[in-house]
Amino acid sequence: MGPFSQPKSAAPGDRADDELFDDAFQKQLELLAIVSRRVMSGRIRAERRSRSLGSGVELADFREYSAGDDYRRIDWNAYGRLGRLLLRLYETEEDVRVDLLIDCSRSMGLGTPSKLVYAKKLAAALAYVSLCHLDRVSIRAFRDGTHRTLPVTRGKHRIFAVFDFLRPLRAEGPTGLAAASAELVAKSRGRGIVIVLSDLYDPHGVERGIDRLRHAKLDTHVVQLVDAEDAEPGLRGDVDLVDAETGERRTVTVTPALALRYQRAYQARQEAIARFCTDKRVSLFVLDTRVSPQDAMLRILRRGGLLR
Amino acid sequence: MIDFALLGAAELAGIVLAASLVTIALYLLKPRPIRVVVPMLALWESVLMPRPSAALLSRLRSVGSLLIALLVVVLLALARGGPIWSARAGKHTLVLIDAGAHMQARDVLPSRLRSAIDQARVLIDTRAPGDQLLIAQLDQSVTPLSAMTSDPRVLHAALTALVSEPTTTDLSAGLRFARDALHGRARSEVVLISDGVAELDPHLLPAMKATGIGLRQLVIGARSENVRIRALSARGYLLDPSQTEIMVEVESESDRSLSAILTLRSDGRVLDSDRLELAPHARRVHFYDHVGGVAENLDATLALEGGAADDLPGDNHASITLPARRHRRVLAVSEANRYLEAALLLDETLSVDRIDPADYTGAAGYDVVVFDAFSPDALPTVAAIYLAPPPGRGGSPFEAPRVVARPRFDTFARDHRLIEGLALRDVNIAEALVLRPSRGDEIIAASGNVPLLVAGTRNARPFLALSFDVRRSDLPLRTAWPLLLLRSIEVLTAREGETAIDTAMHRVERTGSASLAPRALLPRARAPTAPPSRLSTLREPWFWLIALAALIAIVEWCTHQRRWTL
Repeated sequence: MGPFSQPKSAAPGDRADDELFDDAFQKQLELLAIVSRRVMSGRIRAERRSRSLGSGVELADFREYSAGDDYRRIDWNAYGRLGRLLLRLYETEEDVRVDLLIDCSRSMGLGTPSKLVYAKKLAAALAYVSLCHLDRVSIRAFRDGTHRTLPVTRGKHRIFAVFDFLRPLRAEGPTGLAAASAELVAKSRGRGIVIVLSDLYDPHGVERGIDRLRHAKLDTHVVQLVDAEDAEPGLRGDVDLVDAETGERRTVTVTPALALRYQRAYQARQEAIARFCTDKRVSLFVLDTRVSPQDAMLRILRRGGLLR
Repeated sequence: MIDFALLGAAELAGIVLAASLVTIALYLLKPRPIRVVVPMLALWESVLMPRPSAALLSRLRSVGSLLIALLVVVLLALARGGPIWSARAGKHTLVLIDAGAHMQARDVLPSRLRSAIDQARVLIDTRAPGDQLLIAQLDQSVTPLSAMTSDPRVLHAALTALVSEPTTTDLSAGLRFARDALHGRARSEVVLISDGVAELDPHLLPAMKATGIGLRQLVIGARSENVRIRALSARGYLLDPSQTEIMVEVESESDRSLSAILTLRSDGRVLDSDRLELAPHARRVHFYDHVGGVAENLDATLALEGGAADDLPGDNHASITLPARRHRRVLAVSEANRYLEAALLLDETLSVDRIDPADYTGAAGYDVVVFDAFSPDALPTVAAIYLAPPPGRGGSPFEAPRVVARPRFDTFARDHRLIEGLALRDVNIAEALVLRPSRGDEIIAASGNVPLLVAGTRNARPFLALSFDVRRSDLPLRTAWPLLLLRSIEVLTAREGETAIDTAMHRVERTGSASLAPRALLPRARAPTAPPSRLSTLREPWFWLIALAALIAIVEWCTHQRRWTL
């Protein structure tokens, strides 16, 4: 048994949520940390290295001694070599605020397992890593606007609250990243990291929502969850297509040519999103739900530099 | 142009309509499109045609699929109708199969009739597409076994209903039937499958040719190695009915001399058996005299010596049935009339009792009573023969007030069976009573206007009266005397429906053409032998209809796979 000891839930789906981490995964997550690409100003010293110089233990830099500096910081070895009085400068570790935006729209309910389940697992893992590093974590479940919010919390023991928050989330309603982003920006103070977990099927487009986060000087990361059937639905013949979120219907005859055109359109859309994120310097992670959340956390996100 | 041989226009239209309705119903009931939830319909919309255009195209596809399905169904229905090319909608053939007794001949194994049926089957299988046949059995009359059709199943089934008849064959009846059955039909002909052993009106052939109906014959049979009984007759002797004279006429149709055994049987008992030597094509009459013990049934059988095969064994047997000779009881009331007694004893079927007139008390239990110069007090209750009945008593049938001397038989009832063939004109009679017949009596013979032989009814019983005493004439010395007496007993004791005369000839004879040798009564036809070529199927419209339906179905399948059709 790992560090988590929690009661079993009655429903099979709940049991799936209960089993978010196994022992090996927990141990690996213990070694990882979320790396933010910007220096954050924090109020409480945490396990994150900051670029501000302070009283940390990690040597960061040297500068000339000035009157009034603490002489205990003079590097006498450097004086012996160079004949100059130089002060050691140390890094200060800061805590980071991490906001997780989880898309709970109806389109997230598609796939086997559903993208929402995948997002929950991913969010739980990200939250746990952040909590382990004494970061402040907040989770917002959004549809067309914020649906539910887990207030900022800190400390590893708060992971249960994260589980309790994530477990009842259901995929319903349309997607509205822009509204959710606006609400997040309005309520957040200072800088932080925002990780958007979504399939990015927003009828209004995701650009506005992402731009809002950027403009608020938040370190924005987008994790796009894709299901294999999104790219290749594998449909043939007469089908009645129903939009998961709007309910709009259309009867089509899917021919091989039409299926090919759809795949190309999908690919073009993916490329447009990637270009946008690249242009806006927003890191984009496209995760296929066929990859296990554990592999995603350990390989892809670390490769992306989100974790260290 | 195409005609339809198997189905009429109404039937074909019905099948097409029903199949079309079923197709449309299945089309309407086809499963609805599956429902698929997609995360973003807008992505699909970006690659789909505008809704109105897409809807129109989808409808066109849908209607196109339905039309293709209907086309396939209609083609298959038309193929079922038995289409034939009008240009070859052709011959109407009446196939007459001879089923007379002679067709049982075994010169062609297993029999001529079986060979004829086999020829008919080949005729059916080798007919040209579009030709229609009518199968009919020909013997003394014509029996149609099928309708005029080109369906080989119907035609072959008709042949199984063919049954041989023990009769001769009347080809004239067959040709008259053909004239009626083929009237108004294009390219009609008659094919006679027969050995030619048939009756034919010689005037009928030219009349048939004038109608334009083709006449052909497939001759069945190879030879005629046949012996047969042409006639069998029998008659009893006039003076000795217990003896029978038998005549058998036999004939040989062989080209070589044959030895045969002729056997006579009566009620299964062999009467006689003779070995006959028959020259080629010989005809012989064989007589059997004074054959005793002939019972009711007389059979004659002819068999080749040594068990050699006869082509037609069926004509080697003849039989006749003779009238049964019934026993009768006769009471002779007479005083020692030897002429009477002797005449009565000639017929072994008569049981005769003689009594003296003084002992007569009645004739109960007898079939007939003979009163010889005696009249009883009362009329008898059985048939009676009076020989010179004295008048004046209650049992006398006549009043006879006087006697006439030396009468002669000079007047006879015309063609009366009692006196037929009897020589009575020169009978000498001393005297005879002048009988006074009553109303209803029949005078069979007379001397002038003096009745000598009278028949009538008294007391509801028949009688016969001879007006003179035979002992006072020379009649007993004549052959006519016992014949007259015995015939009288036969007539008076005959039951209703019986033929009183048993001395007539009984004869059975085969009428019509005698020889079993096959012959062509109609122009010969070449026997069809070659089975239809497989390639002939390619000429059939139904083949092309089905091929076209299959091709359309394949094309539709391909287009369906590409979603050009639904």
